[in-house]
Amino acid sequence: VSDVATLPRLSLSVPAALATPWSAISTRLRLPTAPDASAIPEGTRTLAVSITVGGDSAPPVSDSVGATTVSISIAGEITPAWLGETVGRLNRRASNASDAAVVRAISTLLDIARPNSSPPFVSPLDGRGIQLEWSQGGLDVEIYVSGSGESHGFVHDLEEHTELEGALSDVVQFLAPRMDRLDQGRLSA
Amino acid sequence: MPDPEDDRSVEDACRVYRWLGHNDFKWDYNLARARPTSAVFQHDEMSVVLGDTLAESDRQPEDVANPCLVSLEAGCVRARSQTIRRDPTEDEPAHGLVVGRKTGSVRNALARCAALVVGPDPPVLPARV
Repeated sequence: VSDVATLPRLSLSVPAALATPWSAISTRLRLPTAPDASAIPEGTRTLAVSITVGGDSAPPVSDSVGATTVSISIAGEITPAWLGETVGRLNRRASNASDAAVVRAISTLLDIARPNSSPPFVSPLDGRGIQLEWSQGGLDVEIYVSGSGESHGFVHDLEEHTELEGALSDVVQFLAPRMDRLDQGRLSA
Repeated sequence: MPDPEDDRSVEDACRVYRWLGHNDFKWDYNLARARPTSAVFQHDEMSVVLGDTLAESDRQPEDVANPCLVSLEAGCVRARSQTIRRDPTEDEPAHGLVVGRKTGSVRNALARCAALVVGPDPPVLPARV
């Protein structure tokens, strides 16, 4: 576990396409201030963020996002638990993902998941993208994040025999009344 | 009307095989079994091995596992607006392609109807909750 206070910090360069969604998310994800570029190892970009979920501040997270590998270390215990697990899965299973994809994937999870949610299954996608998915509670949920940070999703409600594929906002809206099923799905499976 | 790009000599009952890695499988709590992630069906031109050609050469599906293998029924693939083409290569005379736009709905459907032939090691099990 690293001491996040001693790590070099860097504001994440967010593509223009992400600007508006990121602005909304930044109320919960506070980016650190100016980087000390000289302190950053070659081939590695480091950012440190503080995460606030549900009004309670979580310990800081330090993310080192390399050009070819993603190495994210966590300082302290992260609440909710799924966030820490997801970061680990991003490290192990989507190590070639782009910075924009990692940021969008985490911010998307903050939009969808709740404190007792289970972490998604993580898969790499072509073009340095990421796929997040859950199959539980009679729901199949898949989130596709491209290497440039664009995202959309797919939900299949197996009980109601309905499907939705579209923008993330539509997926969030579709899932809202079904989140209890998604959160409890593993227990009843 | 049949798609001219779809090789109907590959019958609907034919199995098409796709090789996968050990990490391409997840536990599906809805199906109560392990299945491949739909991410492995993301390519609009997806390489497969055709079961009929494989059988003609007296080879078993397990022979083409690399390291894992799942099978799909050709008819199930076509039902998702995909076409099947023979595409023999120097290395694999039974090589074929499943061609078509893989929307989220298509990827998910293919993942759900994929049958395990050679599963991951270690086996994928449900998480402890």
